Amino acid sequence: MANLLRYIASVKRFLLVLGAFCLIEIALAHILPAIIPQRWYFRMYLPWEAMKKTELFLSSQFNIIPSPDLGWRNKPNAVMNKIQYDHYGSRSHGGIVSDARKPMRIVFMGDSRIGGYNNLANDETVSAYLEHGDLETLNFATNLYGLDQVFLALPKCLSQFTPDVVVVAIGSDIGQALNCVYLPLTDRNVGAPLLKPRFFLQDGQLTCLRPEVCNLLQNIPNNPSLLEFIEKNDGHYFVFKHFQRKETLPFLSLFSLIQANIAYVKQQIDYHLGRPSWASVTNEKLAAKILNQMESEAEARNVRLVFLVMPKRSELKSGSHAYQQVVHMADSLGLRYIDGLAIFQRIRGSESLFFDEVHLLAKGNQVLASQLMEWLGPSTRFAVENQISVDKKFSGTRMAEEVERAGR
Amino acid sequence: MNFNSFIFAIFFFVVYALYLVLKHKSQNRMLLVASCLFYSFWDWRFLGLIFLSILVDYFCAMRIEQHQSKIIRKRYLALSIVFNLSVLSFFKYFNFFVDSCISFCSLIGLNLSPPALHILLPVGISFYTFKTMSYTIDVYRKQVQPTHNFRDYALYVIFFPQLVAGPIERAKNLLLQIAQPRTLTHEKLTQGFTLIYWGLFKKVFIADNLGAILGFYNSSQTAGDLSQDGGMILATTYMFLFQLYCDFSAYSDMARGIGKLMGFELMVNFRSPFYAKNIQETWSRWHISLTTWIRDYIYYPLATMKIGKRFLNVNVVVMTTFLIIGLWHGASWNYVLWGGYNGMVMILYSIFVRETRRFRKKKPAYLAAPLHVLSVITTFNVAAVGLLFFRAESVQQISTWVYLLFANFSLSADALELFFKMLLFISPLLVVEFYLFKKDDITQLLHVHPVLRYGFFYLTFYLLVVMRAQSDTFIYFQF
Repeated sequence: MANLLRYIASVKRFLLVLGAFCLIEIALAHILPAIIPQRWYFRMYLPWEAMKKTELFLSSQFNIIPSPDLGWRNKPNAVMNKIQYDHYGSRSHGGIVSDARKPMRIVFMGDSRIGGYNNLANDETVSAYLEHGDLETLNFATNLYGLDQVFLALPKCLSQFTPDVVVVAIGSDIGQALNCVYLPLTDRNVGAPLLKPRFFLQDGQLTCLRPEVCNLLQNIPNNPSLLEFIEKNDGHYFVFKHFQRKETLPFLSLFSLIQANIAYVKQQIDYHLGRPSWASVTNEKLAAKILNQMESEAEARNVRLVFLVMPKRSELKSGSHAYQQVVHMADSLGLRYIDGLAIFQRIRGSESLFFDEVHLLAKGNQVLASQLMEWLGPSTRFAVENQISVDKKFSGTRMAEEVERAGR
Repeated sequence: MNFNSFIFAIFFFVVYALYLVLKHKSQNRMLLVASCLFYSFWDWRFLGLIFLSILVDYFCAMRIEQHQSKIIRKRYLALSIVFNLSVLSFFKYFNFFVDSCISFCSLIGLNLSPPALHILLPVGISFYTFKTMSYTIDVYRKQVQPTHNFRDYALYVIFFPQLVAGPIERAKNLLLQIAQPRTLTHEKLTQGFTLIYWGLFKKVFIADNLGAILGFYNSSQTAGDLSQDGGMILATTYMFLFQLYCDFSAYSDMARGIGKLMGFELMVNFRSPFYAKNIQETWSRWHISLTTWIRDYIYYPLATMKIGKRFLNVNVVVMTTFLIIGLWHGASWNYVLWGGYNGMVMILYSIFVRETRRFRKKKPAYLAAPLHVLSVITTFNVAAVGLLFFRAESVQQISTWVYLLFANFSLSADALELFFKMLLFISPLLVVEFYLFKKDDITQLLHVHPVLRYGFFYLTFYLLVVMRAQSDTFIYFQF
């Protein structure tokens, strides 16, 4: 110990220089953003892969393609690893035949958690497990879609495919990207540098802003119109401003990094101690309005709309405030919903049904499919018991009464 | 728990604080507990396996020491080796062996189904197994006195800085330091902090950034395009070489640095291999703890072995040695091929040296430097080509890459961009490595002019913190 203290005393000049660097950086953090062009910061903000991926996205080399209405959509007939889309852009297993409609058609909408993500094959998705003689499914879930994009896609889907039931997957992050237009502002390492439409709530009415995706994403990070657009319209623009001030100079960046890590460690400790997360749903009013409009849209066309509320893996142990808020929101709006958390909490070791924090493994999808079948009614229940080989420990014995409680 | 993670920083802070206030014996006890905790973060279930290995080798070494009879000593040595190799074979090579058998049987028309046995690979098994084996062999050879203190021996095997990815320490170095009280000197602390800093820089800035680029080009979206362009293959191969080096040497540097902060001297694992002027020199500078292990316990015994009255052919010995090095890296045919390629290159090089000996005379000064640079570049490329085998996922992929590199080479704009990007990332590395090649001591960098010193520190610190990529685990953990 004494040796170490002597050592620290001997390097005091070095420590003083570090202190001086810190002070200079604090001053520079306020001066530099006014001097350095924004696009330079933007170039630093975007990871290299983000720029390459934008190029590939614009040249339709991914399994999603630009869409003027929705920001992006599934690429028809795309085949990439385990993912295959049909010519409608649906991740179907059996799919549909246009001139031979089956008695029941279910459409799935949402993001990758209901779409099957990259870890599952088409025949391991929830929709695939539901398919049988009298029931056909279409899975229009699209990676990274927000509730607003699902809402925008819903009318066309209802009119084009006339489903009997629409299942929309939502979660506790339902409002996270509702005030966002450029995804990298929600998370710098999101991996998908995509532009999306955004709704505003004005006098109780929804107005939609649709960005010109192809024009704005061209030539990034040197496209000034993109920066102007996101500055004006993105509720997460403060993240970029924070980055400019706090994460472009090394010592300040290190402090931010330590702060973020402390928050992460605290979160992990809370999780292991079984304490629920107290984060709230963001943009709650906007989300509620969109949910309500979706219900009205479906009702007007006589389609049963059900929201499948899917938990994250970290919510299984002790739930979360945001998840409960979503459930209460659905309750207060009188929506039909299935409480995924209640389903998974009944299963011992349900964490092993997850591939990662949000995505399920095939077995998890089997569980959800069996619950959906129960919800759909007795006419389809016999079919599911034959069709789905759910392990006994997952199938449960009190399924019917619990479904009554979980799904309304 | 990676060395570059926040959790490790907290862990080490606590361990170091305790280390500084404890006395020698308590330090060792505390380090043993801390090392078990460190390993438990990976997978606590395999702690039992390590301790079984420790027990067997501790017991065998004691027995070897107690008996004078060569036969009995040999029996205990054989017991230790058979046990260690069995554990290694089961956990690391069982799946490979079964898959290879099934493939072979299907070639001759027998269709077998694989057993439903899914074996997990314990982290660091290749490293600690080699370490425990070297101990019993050294005791058998009477090069090391076996310890009678079980705690010290357990700490030698499980010492956390070098548990999961080496260096593969020998008992004559580490065990002696564990048994003696350590002293912290100004020099050791400076070296320790410098090595940790430089290791972090190599891992976080260079290896992780190169890894992100390689990950992008290896991803499903772009893998198809990559296979069409020889320039891209060359660029990504160079990148992989630098990534591998920075990743692995960073771990070794940080392990040495952490060791030095506690007064331990762990062996140097890399000595600027990119500046080697021939393949022999490359191998004497790359993963030194493994190559010296293989030299002492496999190459020398094989080279001095007689069949009848004749020694084994030296080329056969070299090839066998490199095939083992390849197989050590992983249970897959591509690692065997990589080992085979390096063995072949070494044999060809020794033939070349032998055949050209009579033509060699003192070169004029104006030729010596360019020839030296040429030989360094050639050696670098020969080593890089070997990594095609290391990276590939199938033999077919290797043949496609080789075809595009040597028979149908083209250089696209994307490939040029990649070369440029790679140069941006590796330029600080090349400068420091050249300095190390000449001086062999990283702390010499601290004796340059203060402006240069602080300038270099601030620049690297900027790159390390601001330009870091998303953290990835160390590549060599899988071995």
